[in-house]
Amino acid sequence: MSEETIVDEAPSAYPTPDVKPDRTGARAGTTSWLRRARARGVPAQLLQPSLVLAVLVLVVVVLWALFPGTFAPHDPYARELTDKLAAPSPDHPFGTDNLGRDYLSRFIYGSRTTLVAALLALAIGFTVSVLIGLPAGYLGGVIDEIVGRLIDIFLAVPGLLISLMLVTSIGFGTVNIAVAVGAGSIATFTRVLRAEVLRVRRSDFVTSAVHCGVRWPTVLRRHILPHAIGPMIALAALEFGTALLSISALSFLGFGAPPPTPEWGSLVSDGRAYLAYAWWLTTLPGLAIVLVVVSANRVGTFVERIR
Amino acid sequence: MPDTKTRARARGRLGSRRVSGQARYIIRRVYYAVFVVWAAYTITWLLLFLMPSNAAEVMLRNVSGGDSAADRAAVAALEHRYGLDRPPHEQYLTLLFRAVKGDFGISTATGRPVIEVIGQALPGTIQLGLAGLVLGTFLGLGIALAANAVRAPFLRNLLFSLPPLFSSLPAFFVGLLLVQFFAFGLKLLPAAGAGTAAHLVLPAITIAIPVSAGIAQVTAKSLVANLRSPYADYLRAKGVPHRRILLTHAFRNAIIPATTLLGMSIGGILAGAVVVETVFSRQGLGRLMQTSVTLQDIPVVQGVVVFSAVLYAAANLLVDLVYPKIDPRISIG
Repeated sequence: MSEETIVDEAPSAYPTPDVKPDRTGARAGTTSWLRRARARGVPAQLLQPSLVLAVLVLVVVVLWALFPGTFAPHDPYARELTDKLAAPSPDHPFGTDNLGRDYLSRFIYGSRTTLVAALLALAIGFTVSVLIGLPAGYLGGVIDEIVGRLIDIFLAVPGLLISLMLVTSIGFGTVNIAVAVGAGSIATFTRVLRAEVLRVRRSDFVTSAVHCGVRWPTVLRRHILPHAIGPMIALAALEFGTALLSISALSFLGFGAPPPTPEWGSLVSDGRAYLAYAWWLTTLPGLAIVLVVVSANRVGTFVERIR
Repeated sequence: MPDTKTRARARGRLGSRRVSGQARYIIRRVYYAVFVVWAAYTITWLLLFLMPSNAAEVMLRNVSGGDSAADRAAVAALEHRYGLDRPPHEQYLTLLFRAVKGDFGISTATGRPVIEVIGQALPGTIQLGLAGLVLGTFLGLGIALAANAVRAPFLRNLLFSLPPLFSSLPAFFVGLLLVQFFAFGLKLLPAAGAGTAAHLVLPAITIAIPVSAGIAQVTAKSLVANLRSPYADYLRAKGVPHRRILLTHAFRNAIIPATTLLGMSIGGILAGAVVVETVFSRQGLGRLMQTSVTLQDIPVVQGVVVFSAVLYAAANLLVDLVYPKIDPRISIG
């Protein structure tokens, strides 16, 4: 008996390799509102402080995007030439740019263009991959072979380069970079969906549906899609952060909306010229982007884990 | 006696088959690499062909700088000159034949051959990419090892959360932050340009961060799995210290997935170079891509995209050939 205990405990004398920092926040020492919420029966999984914080950040940004006028302290286009390149202050939390425009207001208005673009990119990647990956995985044969090879090729070329090529051809602008980023993510989505379809296709309920004489588009829609969509949703949650990064990068490179319109990427690039003496113009919007992307990824990993 | 003879013969047969198997494996990988490059060329051509914009009109707009209200006759003349008025399959075959010979067309912005423009930009990016790759590999492996070596849970969680954080950092932000701090703040390193080793430091760090994120994540995970495996238990039971198990036993096994990732991250480095070379005003493929997109120089953009597929195929071919050297269990054939 005692020997067994020793054997059991031996490995734990070493640092236990535990990758999942799950529920670490649910230990003692957490804030009181967390404990109260848990007492009220909210699942502990939902109450990790980092997750709560991430959701809060995303809620704020989505509210900014929905009602920029309500949250922005100033007009994002109004120039106050007496207040050029002002350092952050209570009145201008992100400072002002070379034309005296309030940078926080510009960032808040920029969240609308940037978030809409990221969501559009996601929607395109998601929808096209469902249209391609679902029938390909189910029908198999030559079609599946071709789709599989296409995925391989598209994954060989980095998504950003594909997006850049498309932007060259279709032109600049917020919608265009969203389309380009969405097209660049199709391969990633299709790969995951196709693998799921191949797994679900072998299920008994699919076989029985087919044997009952259900036509294949119906089998796909009613029986395969609902079972294959889970990993896609988790991937979409993670890809949201990636789409935000790509769209900001394209906008930073100057392929987004033309100058007066604020976008997250172009705000950082506008501040670049004043890097040496107006640190806030690049640092604050940059930090805000990082915060949003980290939050999106945090929620994404959570969605992936609970699935 | 006959038994040994047959066994020897069998061994001989096996041996020779392994050699031919190896050759066959290499040939198959080379074929695949060529296929990837061909397919990338074909797909880029197809995508650009299907796009609504008219290449000749874009060209004219770039030359004249005016609006897209290009002269019909001028458009037709250009289309004829570049063969754009011929049937699609004829255009494709002509272009593919030229591409095989190394002729990727003429840059519409500068009028110089695409292959020459790319060749000129290449050295800067190779320098940057190699520096970033080496730095990123060491950084990533370092984080993975440290995360599995420290005992304090706080430090451990911190190190394990570094890779996801690194992959959430926009390259343009990291680059500008580094410039602000090391170039303008501490005045240690130059902010822009190229030439000396000092010019390479900040761009290389910027490129290395996303590379290290991938490598750290995969290696740390694989180290965890290896440290939990029975052979690690056995070593622990034998009394081998944790550090030794980690460094000499688990590390060698855990490095295999990182090798795969290294081959895949070549393309990512090229994509990163677009942003990094723009931020640091360096000459290179990335900068070339940025200016070419701005000028809508389609032949150069297509050239860079196809080139990235070539790089990817070559890097993965190399990784496939190196595999058996790292892990003897991966037999070829």
